[in-house]
Amino acid sequence: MSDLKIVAQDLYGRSPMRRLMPLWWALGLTALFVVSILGMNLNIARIIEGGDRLVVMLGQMFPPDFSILGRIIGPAIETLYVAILGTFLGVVFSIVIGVLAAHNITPHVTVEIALKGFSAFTRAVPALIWALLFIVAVGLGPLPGILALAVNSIGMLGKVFAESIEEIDKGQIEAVAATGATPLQIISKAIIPSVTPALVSWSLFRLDINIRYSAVLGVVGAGGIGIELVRSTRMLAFDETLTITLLIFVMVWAVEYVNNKIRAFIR
Amino acid sequence: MSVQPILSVTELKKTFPDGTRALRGVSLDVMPGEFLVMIGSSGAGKSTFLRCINHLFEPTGGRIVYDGTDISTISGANLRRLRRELGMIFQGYNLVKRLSTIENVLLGRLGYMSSISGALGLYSKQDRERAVELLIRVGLGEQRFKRADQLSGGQQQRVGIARAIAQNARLVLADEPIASLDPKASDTVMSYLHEVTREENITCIVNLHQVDYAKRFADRIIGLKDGEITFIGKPEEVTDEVIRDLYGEKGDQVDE
Amino acid sequence: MSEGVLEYTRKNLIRRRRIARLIIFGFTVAVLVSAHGTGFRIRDLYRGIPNIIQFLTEDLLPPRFSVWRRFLGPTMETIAMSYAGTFLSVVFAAPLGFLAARNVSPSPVVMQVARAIAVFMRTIPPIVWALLLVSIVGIGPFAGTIALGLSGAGMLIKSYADSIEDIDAGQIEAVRATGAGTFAVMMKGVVPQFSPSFVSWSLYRFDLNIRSAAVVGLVGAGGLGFSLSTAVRLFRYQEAAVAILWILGLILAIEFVTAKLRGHLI
Repeated sequence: MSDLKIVAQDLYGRSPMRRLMPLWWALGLTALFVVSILGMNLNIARIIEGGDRLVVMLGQMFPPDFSILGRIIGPAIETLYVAILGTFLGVVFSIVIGVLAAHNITPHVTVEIALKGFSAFTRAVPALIWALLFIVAVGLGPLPGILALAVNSIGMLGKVFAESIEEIDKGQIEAVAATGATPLQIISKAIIPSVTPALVSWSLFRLDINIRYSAVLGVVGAGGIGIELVRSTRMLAFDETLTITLLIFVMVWAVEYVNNKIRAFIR
Repeated sequence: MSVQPILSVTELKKTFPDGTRALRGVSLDVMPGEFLVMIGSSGAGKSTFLRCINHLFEPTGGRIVYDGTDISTISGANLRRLRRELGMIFQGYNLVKRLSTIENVLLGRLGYMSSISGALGLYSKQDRERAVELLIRVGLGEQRFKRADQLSGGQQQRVGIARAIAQNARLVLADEPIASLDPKASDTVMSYLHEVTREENITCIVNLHQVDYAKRFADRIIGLKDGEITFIGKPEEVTDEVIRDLYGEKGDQVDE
Repeated sequence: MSEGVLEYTRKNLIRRRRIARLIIFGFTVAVLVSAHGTGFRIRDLYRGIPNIIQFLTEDLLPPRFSVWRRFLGPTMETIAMSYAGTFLSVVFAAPLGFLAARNVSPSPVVMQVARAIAVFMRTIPPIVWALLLVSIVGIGPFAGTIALGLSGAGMLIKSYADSIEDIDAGQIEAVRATGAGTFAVMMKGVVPQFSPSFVSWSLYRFDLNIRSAAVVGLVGAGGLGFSLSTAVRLFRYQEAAVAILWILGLILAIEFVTAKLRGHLI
């Protein structure tokens, strides 16, 4: 047994510095956090005051004023409409883009690159910024919101649709092509059936995202429930703010709930 | 016999919430230093039996006495203290795969440390030396800084043995230790398990599927069928008839 | 097994097809009703296009690159907000993630409460949080930071909990069987398995926060979003174009960095 002890000198395998790696990471990240906060030119007095304001605000919030429901139900429904239409247009255009941009069936590689670049751009610019631009371009009302959501959706859906087409088993396409099918028949009989589940579940997922955006489009002036929300906070009518927030919560949650049910059915 | 059994189980019952009666009243005395092998087809209740002893499953009836203490309803700190004396070896090895081999052996020391220092991995130098020594004994001294998931199945199970011994266990519960291993690795693992527990005078209860290994290593063999003991005896008393009774009519199922 | 396999699968197929038709019908109606409700016409699309092109070519382009320096400060502010927000969400969500995971949660009640907190925090969009917080702590990046922290925590609690629920129960059981205390079981049995998804989800959240940070600024919560909305309000579209390019560049750069970091860490 004593010779075993001799071999047993190296007990750690790593230097003490390396063994404490998680600690260094934690310290470094915390220091970065402190630096970030300190770099914000905080108005400390205003923030400390925030505590009192929070209490006052919460006091004003309860009980929420449900009498405004009649007035805000219209904008709420408009919010829902905008989300649905934005998603719908996004899906329609994304299918076209997805088919043309998928590497395995694209008509030409320049088309693929151009469309993938376009989606990357529309994806990277956030939906609310699109809305801001479209308001200037086409005026107020639901239209800029619909366009903003559609464009931003194209960025995401165009990419994932193209990717799911690229993932299709090559053999399936070949088998259908071998029967003498035309390109359109190949798309409808080989490609569409194999990508439908992915297409549907991504579209539903996008609807989840779009209802959240749609609810806040009003913040930049593009209609819907968001305008009511901004107005209530400007008027310091926090009992209305709470009602509107709860309504947004219910809407978002309801859409997500329905979508989850449908997704579970598809799977 | 003046020697007191280290483990005495009386009428142990376990019914799962879904209504499965895995144990229907098992009684068994285990003597100190014994190498006991439990055989029976899958679903006979072997692994439920072991898990009831260290309360990974809560038994629904019966009495378990360990070293003179009734542990049937033990919990909290007492359960922790019990568990550290009961080493467990699993069919799926259950090493923490992203930790190194030596760290896995050191897990066996957690029961002796405060939860905080255990969580931070502040093992003492003696513990580390002992862990290396145990790894050398199961032939894995050179592999001690390898990540556990880079070891082969047989090597992982040998780490599992080292982990159980590192607990200074007095009783090792091995649940199908070689069921996922090829014959050669099975041989090595069973030999190490037998050898190390004999040297350290540790009592051992091993669940096995394979009757030939049971006959080779066991001091005593228990046959379990449908949650009841149907056979207790010496290895040489295990006849073909006993096997047929345990595993059903088809004898060829034995080697599954 | 009273009915045959063929009969059973046929009935199932018909039932599924009926539900599928119902869903398709439902969505068609929803789209038509929405189009009617918002007065949307297909011609809006092509009638709008000249306006959009005119806006792009005459107002937005070319970007007035000479002002690029003005956005350096706000960019740093956006990064700081995103990072600090992510940090807050991670610190807040890590313990709650454990409480919300079925396999390690101390009790089902605690689990449900933790999950409910998560749903509440992430269902309310970050910009709504920002709007409320601006009313409380005033205009500036601090409000944005807290807003990102809250909505991020909601998402991370759920993601962490789901990842913890996916880990191998055998490894936890083995550590528990050594007699280790609860905290030690968590740190030695759960954390090593959970850490890759922990890093991955946290980085992903940082990624998302960069996008959200650019947006929460629109309601006055600081950063590039605030500069952008100011430029638009003042009709300085060519400056706004520069701000948009900054946002775009920042998002792409951070996406690149986090992808590298993820590959390096896991």
